[in-house]
Amino acid sequence: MEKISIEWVIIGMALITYFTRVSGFWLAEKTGKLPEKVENTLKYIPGTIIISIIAPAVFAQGTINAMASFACFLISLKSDNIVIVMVTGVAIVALMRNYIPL
Amino acid sequence: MAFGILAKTTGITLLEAFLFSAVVFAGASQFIALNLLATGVGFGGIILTTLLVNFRHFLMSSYIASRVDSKMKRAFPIIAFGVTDESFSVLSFKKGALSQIYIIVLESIAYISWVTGTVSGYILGGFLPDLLVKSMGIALYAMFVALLMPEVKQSYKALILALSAGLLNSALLYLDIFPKGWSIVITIIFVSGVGAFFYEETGEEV
Repeated sequence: MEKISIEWVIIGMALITYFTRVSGFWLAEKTGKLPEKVENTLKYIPGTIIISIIAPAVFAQGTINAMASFACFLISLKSDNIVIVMVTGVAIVALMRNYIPL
Repeated sequence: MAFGILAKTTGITLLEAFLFSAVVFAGASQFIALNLLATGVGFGGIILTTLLVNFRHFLMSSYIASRVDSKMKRAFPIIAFGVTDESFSVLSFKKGALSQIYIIVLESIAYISWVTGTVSGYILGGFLPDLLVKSMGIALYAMFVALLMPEVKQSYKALILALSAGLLNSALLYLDIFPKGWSIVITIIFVSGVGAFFYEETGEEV
């Protein structure tokens, strides 16, 4: 197979990604004030997007990550400090990988 | 950092890794592109996958557009470039109106750390212990969880909707009905729509 140039892949990805980002603003500009129903729908997007990104990854990446994610969840109940939650998560995964052969 | 470390292991050059982060600036799709490049997928396949994976940014930017002053229109092309999972999470959980300067500062910080992280990750990649490299992935999810929690503590409806979205997306991915990237879009539209419809009926304040 012909070797594809990484430079073109980067340019293509950049254009298509920028398009997905700017089109939401275009739409909002075109339609002006969004109907209330649509605005209500948009309100629920943050939480649903975030859990939709996390959940499959947690299921797919095995027991260690699932347990560490659950630990992060528990820690975040106690602490609103993002750095603490992230560092603990990485530490748990690193320790478990080291001591528990799964 | 993680992208730089991984980029080194797949054999692309430092300049290419830098360009990926500097002009594409989309974490998840960059990781996926590295995978696709490594497995020999062609240009078209990579671009289409990127479109599907990043289609969620369309939903994010329409949400952000609904939260800002329309006077900001001239800044939209700049703000749009910085719409990522991370900046979106922070913006969406900030209360009140979003000011232009706040968005641009936040996005710039995210951008600078992403690009410098990529470069330093690539350079450090050779020195870091393998164990630590493999454990980096969780940090991103930990950040998402931490960002979501304050919101969830206030509203059980948000928690229920978010969890159903997680289950639905996992189920769709597991069943493999839709191409990768579309299941998340379908999940988000479906669950948010159901949420808006259901809670409007009961007349509850969100």
